[in-house]
Amino acid sequence: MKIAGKHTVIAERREVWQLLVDPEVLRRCTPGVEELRAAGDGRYEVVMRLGVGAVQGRYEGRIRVEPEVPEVVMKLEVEGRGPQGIVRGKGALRLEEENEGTEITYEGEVQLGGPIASVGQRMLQSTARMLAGQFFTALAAEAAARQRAQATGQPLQPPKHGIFRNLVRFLWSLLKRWFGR
Amino acid sequence: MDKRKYVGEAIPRVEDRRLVTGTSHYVDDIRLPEMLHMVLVRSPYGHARINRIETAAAEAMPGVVAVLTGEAIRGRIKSIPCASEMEGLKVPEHPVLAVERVRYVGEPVAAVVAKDRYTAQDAADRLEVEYEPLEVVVDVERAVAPGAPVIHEELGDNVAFVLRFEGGEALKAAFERADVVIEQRLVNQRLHPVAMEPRGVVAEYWPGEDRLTVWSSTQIPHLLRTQLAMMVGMAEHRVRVIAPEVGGGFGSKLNVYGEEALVAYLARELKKPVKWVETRRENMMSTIHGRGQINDVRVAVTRDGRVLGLEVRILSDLGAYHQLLTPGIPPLTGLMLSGPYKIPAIGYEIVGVFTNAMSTDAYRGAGRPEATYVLERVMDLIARQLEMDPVEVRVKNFPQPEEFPYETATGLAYDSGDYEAALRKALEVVEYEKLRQEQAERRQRGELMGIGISSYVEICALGPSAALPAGGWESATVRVEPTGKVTVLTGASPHGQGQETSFAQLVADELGVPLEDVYVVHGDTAVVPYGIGTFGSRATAVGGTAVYEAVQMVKEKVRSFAAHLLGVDWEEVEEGVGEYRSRRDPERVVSFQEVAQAAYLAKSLPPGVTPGLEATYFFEPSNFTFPFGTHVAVVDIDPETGEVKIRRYVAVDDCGRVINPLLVEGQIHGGIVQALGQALMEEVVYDEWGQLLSGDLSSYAVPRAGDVPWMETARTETPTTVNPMGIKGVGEAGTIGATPAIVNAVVDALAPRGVRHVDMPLTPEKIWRLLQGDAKA
Amino acid sequence: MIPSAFDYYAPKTVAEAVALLQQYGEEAKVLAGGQSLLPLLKLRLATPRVVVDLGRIPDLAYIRQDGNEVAIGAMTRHETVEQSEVVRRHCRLLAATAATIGDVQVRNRGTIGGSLAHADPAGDFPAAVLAAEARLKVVGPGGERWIAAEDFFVDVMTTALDAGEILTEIRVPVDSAHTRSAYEKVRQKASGFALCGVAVRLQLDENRRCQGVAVGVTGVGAKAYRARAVEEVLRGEALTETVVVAAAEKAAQGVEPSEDAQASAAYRAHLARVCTRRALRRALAEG
Ligand SMILES: Cc1cc2nc3c(=O)[nH]c(=O)nc-3n(C[C@H](O)[C@H](O)[C@H](O)COP(=O)(O)OP(=O)(O)OC[C@H]3O[C@@H](n4cnc5c(N)ncnc54)[C@H](O)[C@@H]3O)c2cc1C
Repeated sequence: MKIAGKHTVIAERREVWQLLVDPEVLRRCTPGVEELRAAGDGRYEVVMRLGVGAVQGRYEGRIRVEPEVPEVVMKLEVEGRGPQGIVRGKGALRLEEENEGTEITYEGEVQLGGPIASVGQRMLQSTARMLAGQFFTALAAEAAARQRAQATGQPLQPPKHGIFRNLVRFLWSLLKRWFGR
Repeated sequence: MDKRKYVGEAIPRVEDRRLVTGTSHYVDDIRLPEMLHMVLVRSPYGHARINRIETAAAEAMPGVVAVLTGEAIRGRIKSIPCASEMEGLKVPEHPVLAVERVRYVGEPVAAVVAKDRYTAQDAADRLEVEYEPLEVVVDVERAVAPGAPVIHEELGDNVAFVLRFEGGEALKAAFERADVVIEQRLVNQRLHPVAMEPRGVVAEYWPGEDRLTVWSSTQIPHLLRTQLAMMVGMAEHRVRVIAPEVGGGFGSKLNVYGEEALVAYLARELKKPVKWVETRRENMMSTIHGRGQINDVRVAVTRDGRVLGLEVRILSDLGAYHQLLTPGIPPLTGLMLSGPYKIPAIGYEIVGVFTNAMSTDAYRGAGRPEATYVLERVMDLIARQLEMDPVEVRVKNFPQPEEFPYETATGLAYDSGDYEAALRKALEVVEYEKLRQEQAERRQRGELMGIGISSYVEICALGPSAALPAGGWESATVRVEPTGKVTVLTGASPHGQGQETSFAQLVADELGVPLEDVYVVHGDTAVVPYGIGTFGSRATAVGGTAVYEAVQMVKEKVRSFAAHLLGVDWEEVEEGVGEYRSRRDPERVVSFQEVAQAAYLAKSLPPGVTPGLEATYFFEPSNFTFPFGTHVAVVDIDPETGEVKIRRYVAVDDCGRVINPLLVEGQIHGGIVQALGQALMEEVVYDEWGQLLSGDLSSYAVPRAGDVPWMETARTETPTTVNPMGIKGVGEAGTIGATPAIVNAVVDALAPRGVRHVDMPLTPEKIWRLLQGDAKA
Repeated sequence: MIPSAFDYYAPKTVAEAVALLQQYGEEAKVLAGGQSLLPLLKLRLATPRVVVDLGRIPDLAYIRQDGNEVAIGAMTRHETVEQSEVVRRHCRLLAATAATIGDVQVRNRGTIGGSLAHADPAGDFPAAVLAAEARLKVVGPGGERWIAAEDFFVDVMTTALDAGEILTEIRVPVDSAHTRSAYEKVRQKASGFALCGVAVRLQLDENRRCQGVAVGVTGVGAKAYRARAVEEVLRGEALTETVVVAAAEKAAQGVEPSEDAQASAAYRAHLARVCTRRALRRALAEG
């Protein structure tokens, strides 16, 4: 299943790149990550809780990040296995400077294997989009936090993304209520 | 005096009460004391090396009794058998649990046995298997292309066999002489058989008696027993196989599966009963699939629509391993390539190809639907190209009744038939001329209405033993018990077809006893004489004939005893219903019960007659039978959504003599529904990674009641000469005849938009896309 | 097809249920009709440690008129919604939608609350409650709150419900003499769910001019959505065939249609337009 999309992060391209190669940031931003250990060479071992709605599962696997063109193109590979099956994805992120920040375009392919393959494929695309959205929203928050820390000279307070997500959801619904009709 | 009162009558099935009230016993209803449960760990990869299996965590769980891997039982259970024989056929090793490599998603890798199913599943989830994914090939054309990953390295490449039937000079000449040559690729997609009851096995071993009893949801209890005994290394007579109530098979249970051997083996090793019941998802992954052919067709035709020659190249998707008859199915397509037509020259080549998918094997129709599809699409393509009526093209190519027995270019001898009669009858029922007029009018208004015709001949009553891998005869025992009740033992193994009713009808009439006095027993190797089973539309034509012959033998004996009791010569016995009378002295009567009792008490035996009242007959058919018919479908297409609605459906089938028209109709109905599934909805989908995307019933569309049209059925009756009752068989006719009728109707509806062919399934989106293309053009 | 182990609770009140959810957090799952949850449990795609069954809470299943709204308890079965006189008289759209869900067994078990909370992108009720401009009552540890249907569906199988919250009631404004509605669905052949489902509800004036309109679309995107662009074309207009056709063209505007083995994005978007057109026509033909 092919997926693609774009997100804008209000930060310089170099900063965004820095975030993307920081294991701590990856751990915090990647939805569902419970453990993430750098195994060197852009490889990480992860334990993730992935899913959507009532469908939730634990997956152990690997993430591989490969800077293809530093600060511009990053290749990504994910493979996770659990009792529910296999999730694997492959893709690339492309960073481009924009007026106010950096536009990240992603493109890739996600596949499900094993028990979850046929039930899950119906939701796969939208779930992948949603998770990607969560990742980039979190990344944007990380960037904002850094900027705040820099501006105020205060130590960096890493954002808590679960709460943040709910906040975004809430604000979003407020906005829609005010401007929606 | 005509005593028959049951044969030919539409008697409701005696099976139905227990089925409808849920009081019959399927494998899953069998619960034995101390029974253990098996759960299988299956490969999530389409193709991978198994590097390591970590069983310790699973084994350590409380309640877990055993964890088996392929490595651990290597050599203890023989390879899953393939019964098909063919020159040059490559037969890969097919272990019940994968060793070193997995080759399709769903291949069993380990078996976990525990005190209950929950524990077994929990343990299975704990099992760690380290796989190293390998390149996958699911597409047949890619599998035979150079550089494709080889699925069985020891076999060199992915071609399991090449079977050529040369058309020779005659075929060459046909194409040279042809006014028109039409070429078309026709795809028969892979299908899931989806029997209502998935598979299941229970086995129990009594060490003292050295006796193994296996309950399995199978169509072939005896063949299974023979194979199981060999697989697990037991003497055949120590093994008893019981097919309890079986909830449909459609060919998918005409097989020997690894799970059957595993459960049997485990029961014997653990000395405790073991049960395994397949889940629906396992059923979709690892019960055989059907069809899976790509047919490249060339046909040579004269200007006036006469077929001179036919050449077909069949690429057959076999899957990763051979199941029982995997390589044997596509050759049936080749054999049937003449269909109901006089085609002077035919040539074909079949290439059987391994892919990273579940095995294909016999699925209702088994090779014949593919052949019929080829021919019926071809007839329509000819009609289209030559601007003839599809009826005319067909009629022009039918052999005439006086030409029977008719010998086809593929070497079959059709014993009897009147193909045009069936076609004409179907046209009459559907009011063909009127429909064509209506169609013309509606086309004027831009509406999409189509009429599709399909004439078929099928090969049934499988069959002469020389032509089948495991014998094609059938056995029957008819036993009159001392009380006059009648027990019929049949080697056929009905699983929904209704032979408990039809065989009882036959026997009740022959013996002049009430229907309810006849009890038909099947599916238990300890009770029933060795038999072949139910498949290939054979149970009534072959199994029923065995019953018929056995009952004749019993009748003979009944008459002797009756004469003896009446004190007359047997010529002087007049048979009544349930009684025998002396012709000379009509006052002297003995009842059927009295005769039965006398035969067992044996106080006084007729000269030369032995006690008891029982006979066994093994019937060997001299030929196949060739039922035929014509189906007509009328469809409307929603031009906006592409949805197909079957407005009318008419089926005229000729299955020879009919014992019970209700059963015949039921078979036709069911067959049409499955055909409709293939034509419009069903398709096994593996992605390029070998993952099964159609692996459950929310993604694999089988027809539901609401998808099924009203079916108008009619019959012509041309008895066969192959068996004494003139019965041909009807189990697969619907599936064979209906698929092309529906496809032809849809293509006909789309013809004004320039559509010449669409591959199945004809889903709304596919049709919508075609209509879009038209809009752009 | 064997669930993994879980503890089963059958609270007698909503408050107890909420307390259990609070206690077990993400480990707990609410069970309503079970028609979506049980298959997931059996496939072990959902493996909650705790299942909180709402089935024993006495008053979560009801339908009553309350002023100018119809109130439907979350545990009301699809079949009850379909058959209810109150629903048929006062918010026909919901009854019409319920009738298209699954089969009779599913309708006799599945609940409207479960269907909304599950937020299956192909579920039927989400489209209907959007078009009916329903509001949903949610009870959680902090008391109750009301959520407009449109704000309820957040993303694929994701709603505005927080982990500890339970959906308890659905309120739908009653139909007037000028209300017209229809639900038009194209089924996904295997599951029977909506490949596309469009619910429309119109308020017409005496001259059949459109005074109010809401259109809910399901099956097409990651979640059910209001087709605002369609509504804009219709609002204030006399609903001629030309207007209907023009409006329907906008049915998939602004959404990213899903793509899977069942249908392409393009076909889904197309169906959204066809179903919208048909639903509008049918609503207008109502009388
Ligand atoms: C064969 C079949 C066919 C179907 N066809 C259709 C169809 O055509 N159209 C369609 O729309 N649906 C269809 N369904 C789904 C059906 O409508 C379900 O009933 C519905 O989606 C879920 O409702 P439920 O009451 O069964 O919820 P459950 O399965 O019990 O729960 C579903 C989810 O919602 C949560 N939940 C339930 N109730 C609440 C609540 N009150 N508050 C908070 N969370 C809650 C649960 O925790 C769970 O995560 C089908 C289902 C089946 C089995």
